[in-house]
Amino acid sequence: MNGTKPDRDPIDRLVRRYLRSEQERVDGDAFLQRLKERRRARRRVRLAPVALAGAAAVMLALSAALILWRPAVPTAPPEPPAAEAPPLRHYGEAARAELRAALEGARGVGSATISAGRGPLEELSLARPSMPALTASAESALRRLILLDETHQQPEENGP
Amino acid sequence: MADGDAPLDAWIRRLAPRAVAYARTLLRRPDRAEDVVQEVMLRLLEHKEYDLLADGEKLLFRSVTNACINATTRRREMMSLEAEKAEGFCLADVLASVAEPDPAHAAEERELMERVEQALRALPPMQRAAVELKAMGHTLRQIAETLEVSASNAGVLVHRGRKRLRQRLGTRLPAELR
Repeated sequence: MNGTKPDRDPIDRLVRRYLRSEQERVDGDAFLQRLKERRRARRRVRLAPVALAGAAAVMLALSAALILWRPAVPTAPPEPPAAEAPPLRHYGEAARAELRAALEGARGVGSATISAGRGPLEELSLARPSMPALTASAESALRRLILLDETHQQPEENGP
Repeated sequence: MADGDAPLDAWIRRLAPRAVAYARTLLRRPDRAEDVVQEVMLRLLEHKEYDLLADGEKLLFRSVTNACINATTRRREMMSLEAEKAEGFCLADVLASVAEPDPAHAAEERELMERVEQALRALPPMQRAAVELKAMGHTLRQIAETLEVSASNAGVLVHRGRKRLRQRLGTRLPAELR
């Protein structure tokens, strides 16, 4: 029984024939190719999380580098344009009001810029008079003051 | 296998048909046999410590057996399969005893194989596995290792399996096999 060789027992021979017929239906080469494909697919699946983690790490490093090496935002506050207004001795009411407005505007820009610390001037200028406008206004006031001053002095010089 | 490992490729080519045929008889869904065997082979190939060329066959059949049992209900379906030239046995001799390409005979042969398959499937999984392994030329010790039972238990499984097969096939056995 147990020690019999496979071909001595008719049942063994029959079972062997059956298994043989089954195994003839399997192509060893095709099986090997499918096994290789399956193995490659499994490796790809296994490596996918690693690649994803690598990409995430690279992106993280690039982000950190960008933050560290970002160009510094200009922080210098603008010079108050009317801070060095020339001393005036005589001026008319209209010129005085215009100059006052210009000076206050310039002072506002300067103080706002200082308080904002490092905000760009362009952003602040949206709610304040622009620097060219302030400059033009101050220059206009100065010209008119000089004219007033000259016309005011002329009668004195030409007077008795 | 490892893209260029010719001996391993040859090993796979040689054993795959037997392993798949073996798995087909153990699974309730024979169409899954190749899947099961491929999964088993992939697992074995990943274990670098295994010398598959030396003792991979035993590992393969044991793993296929366990995988098939796990794939079905435990103790539902089982095992076996094997070699060409075990213990001086020559399959060609057995096949030569069977008549050939005559269509009528081929039909008879197909019918007989169907009956054998049905009879095998009617066996308890462990008996089926033991009978098939024995038919392939495995020794009782090898069968015991594969099925993870004692050698005497393996002998009992083979004996009972053969007996039940004989009862089921009975007079339907071809004269040359009686």
